[in-house]
Amino acid sequence: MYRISHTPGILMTVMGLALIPFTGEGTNASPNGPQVRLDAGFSNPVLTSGTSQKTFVKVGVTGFELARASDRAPVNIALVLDTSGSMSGEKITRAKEAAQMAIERLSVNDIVSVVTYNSTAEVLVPATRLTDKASIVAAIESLQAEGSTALFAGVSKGAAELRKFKKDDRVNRIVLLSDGQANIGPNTANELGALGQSLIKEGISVTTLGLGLDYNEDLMAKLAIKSDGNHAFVEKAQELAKFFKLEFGDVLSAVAQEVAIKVEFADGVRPLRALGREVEIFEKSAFALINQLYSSHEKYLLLEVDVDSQVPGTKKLGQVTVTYMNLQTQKTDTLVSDLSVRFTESTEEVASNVDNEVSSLAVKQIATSTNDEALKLRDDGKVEEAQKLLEENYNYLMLNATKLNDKDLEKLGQSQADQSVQIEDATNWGYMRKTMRKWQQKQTQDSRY
Amino acid sequence: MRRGPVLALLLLIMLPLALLGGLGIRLARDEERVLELTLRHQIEGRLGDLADRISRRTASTRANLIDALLEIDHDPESMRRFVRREPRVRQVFLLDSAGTPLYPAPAAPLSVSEREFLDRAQPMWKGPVEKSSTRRALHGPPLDSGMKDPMGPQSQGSSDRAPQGQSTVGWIVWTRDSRIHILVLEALEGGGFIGAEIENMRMLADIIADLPDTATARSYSVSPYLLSLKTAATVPSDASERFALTDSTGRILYQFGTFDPREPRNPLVARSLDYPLDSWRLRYDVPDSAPGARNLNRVHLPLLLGLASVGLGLMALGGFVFREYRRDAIEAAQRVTFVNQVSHELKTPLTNIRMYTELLTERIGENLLEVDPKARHHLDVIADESQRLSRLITNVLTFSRRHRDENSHRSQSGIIDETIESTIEIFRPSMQKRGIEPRFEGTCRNPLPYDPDALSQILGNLLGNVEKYATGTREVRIRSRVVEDQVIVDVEDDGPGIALHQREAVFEPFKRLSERLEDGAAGTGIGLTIARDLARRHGGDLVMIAGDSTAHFQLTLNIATTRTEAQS
Repeated sequence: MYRISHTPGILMTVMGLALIPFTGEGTNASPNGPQVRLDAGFSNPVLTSGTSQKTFVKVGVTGFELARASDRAPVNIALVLDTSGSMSGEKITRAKEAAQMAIERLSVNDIVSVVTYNSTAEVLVPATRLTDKASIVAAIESLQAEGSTALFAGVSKGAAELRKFKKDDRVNRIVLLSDGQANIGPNTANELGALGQSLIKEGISVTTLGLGLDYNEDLMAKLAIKSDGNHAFVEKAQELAKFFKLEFGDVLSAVAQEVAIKVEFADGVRPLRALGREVEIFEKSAFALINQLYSSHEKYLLLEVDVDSQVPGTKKLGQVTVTYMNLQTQKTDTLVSDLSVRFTESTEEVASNVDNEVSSLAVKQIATSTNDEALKLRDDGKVEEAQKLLEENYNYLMLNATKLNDKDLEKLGQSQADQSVQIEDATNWGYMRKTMRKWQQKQTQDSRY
Repeated sequence: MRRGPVLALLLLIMLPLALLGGLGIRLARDEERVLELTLRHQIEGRLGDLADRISRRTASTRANLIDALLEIDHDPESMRRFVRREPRVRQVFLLDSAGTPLYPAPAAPLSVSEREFLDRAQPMWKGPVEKSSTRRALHGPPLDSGMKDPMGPQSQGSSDRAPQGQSTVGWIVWTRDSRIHILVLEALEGGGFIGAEIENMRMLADIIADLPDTATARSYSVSPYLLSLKTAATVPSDASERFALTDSTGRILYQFGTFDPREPRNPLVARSLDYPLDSWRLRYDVPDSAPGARNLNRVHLPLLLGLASVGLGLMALGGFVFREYRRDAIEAAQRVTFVNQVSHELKTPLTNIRMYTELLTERIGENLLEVDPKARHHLDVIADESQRLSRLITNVLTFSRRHRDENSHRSQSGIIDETIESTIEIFRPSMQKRGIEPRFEGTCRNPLPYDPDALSQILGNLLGNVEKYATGTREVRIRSRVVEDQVIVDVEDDGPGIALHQREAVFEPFKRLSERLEDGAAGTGIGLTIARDLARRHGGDLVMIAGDSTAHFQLTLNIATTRTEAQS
């Protein structure tokens, strides 16, 4: 496990070096229509020669801008709604309103299905083209809340409905709403995570909306992270509409999907670990899958690599290949970019050529994993240790915010300071835990909300 | 009103009712049993259908995966690409013909998930792996011996778990920490094997997708079918039931149906799945109240109605019989009253006749003999017959009172022998006419408290019987004596006697031992009954003493009791 006390040191070392900035090869407009922009580079584009060292690689992919909203790709959405007893009252009313509002935003080319679950799952609206919105809205209106929470069954049935109309050029998404602990069927974070990991292989992401203070945030966050969906902590039922809007904003602005990123390294370079987003790491390569890219929104993966001693001069350390489904042209596109670094003996040059953006991202992801450690400590009842760790995290973020001149890091630092104070109150821990899980998910997945 | 007839009537009504009820309930039980078996059969059919769906899913998953695995190149890069794109697998592996992993190769640099797979599947590579490279060896449970030892008791090698008749070919299943691990495996043409680890959660999700949900389950339900068996008219909308899929620990993986029990319960019907998911089970539950209870009600209602109508009929019949019986009883009572009244009315004129006969006898005296010697005889006959009639009436009145005022007798102090003698004297003339000589040996000359009327009546009845029945008797011997608190009077004649077996019967009312007309005897048949009654009321008894050819009656009267009562 990487200890937080070591990591800043490495970053400092890395940032102390300097060389010319490296810009990854990127394409935005081409004869073949709009293209995703690939942006690959090192936190230190200039490295010291003659010594082995560690540095960070960032591979960012940015969705092109959707010219007109009407150009958006058709979507295939399964709304999986919790109708267990705990949803009764305002929650179910708000959930119905939010779901109906979301349905209204869809058009006739879209496909929707509605699955409800309480003690058992029920396919309320089988997957259908949105030619008859009124009947779907009416079906949602008829929902009542009672019984237990068969979450796994709900997701399984939702996925089955999605598959009926699954096509490469449709945005496939399960939107799962739950306000309680899954108590029928598989109910652990690992089990739901495994399901999420399976679903993303066929291009299905699960966005999980946790409502209130009683849902299992570990399970909901893991399902979202493993399937590359979004996750939200919806504290109050009134906010449901807002989060449905945000989620549909994402789904309806998708420009590319099934973005497969492959990073191959040259001899003498070894990927050590991934920060943030989940990446499969082999001896000399790394692989990651991003399910959807939204209009003008960047998602990235971040790797820590070990670079062997090199002689001065520019050297190609690897190559990034990205294949994705272009939802505008409905074609599979491939982007390739080299990963090159210049080695020099001049420490001043290394220090003056730090890529602040990549460094910031690395700091952010390190802080995120530290946050997770603090959460675990707090779970074990080690309140003071958790608080101390969050304070260290605050200091770490603030120091780097100044160094890298990054206001975002400052904000993140401030949030760590706040959390450090707020986790002390045991009665507030349920709320804080959900807040932290959501915070972590947003950083690792680079969610828009 | 006496209770006997009422009880008898009630019994008459309740007995058939109980019988019918018992039979009806048995019938209902039988029907319920038949229904239960039908239900069970239906449910087993449904569960079998569900199990088949699941088997088809596992079989097709294996077939698809194996096809795809044989299709791809067997280099790490291709296999990794396969894992990335195949939602149903966690990991792919390639073994040489000895069962040693070529990919993921333990010595090669591996990703985290590949390394974890090697750890998970450790029992597969460790230990004495079966070296046979034939297809057969691996198509049985391959690597079985290697898997068992390191796993300990939790190991569930595929061979010993798989029931007969189910295909275990190409699967490897083991359980560790109550988590089931499933691999598919296929032998390669050139030797070695390729296989994949199934993603359990995905397998489950696919199975769930194949199974009905609560909405589509309505057409799948057993309950409406069952209910339609009984009556097409009423299919209650709350026919609630639940089908569930559970894992080896009994945890519910998936359920459908409207029944949602909160507490753990025993399933109505359960079965296990086919290999490789044979540690999972399918179960069917219904609420305790249904549908068995509902059916029972339906069976019982007509039964209860039938029983009620039979009961009503029997009660009407009973009422009718009861009324008839009461009318008869009232009529009989009226008849008895009538006889009593008549007897009473007869008593006064008879007394007058007797009195005037005596007066006339006295008055005419010896003169009459001179006028007409036969006149005296006629007067004697009138006196005798009126006395006999008087005794008869007394008997009738006593008999009619026998149930009314028991223990009632009037004791007064007197000399017993005097009463006996005066009674004998009354009978002496008529007896002598028949050639019977009464002989009395009395030893009771002291005054004692007793009821002289009762004694006189008893003795009169006994002597009357002698007179009537003891044809050919020469003499009748009467003896009296006091033994302790009792007076004992024996009356013995040397007439034909009474057969042994009839000796108690003579005391029953209206009993006459011979109906032969030539006996020339007449009587009401209540004489001995009354005599015994009177004796018993007097704290004594009247019995027949066994004798060969004599009729020997022995009367005992309790004086002590009488004395006590007299004093009080």
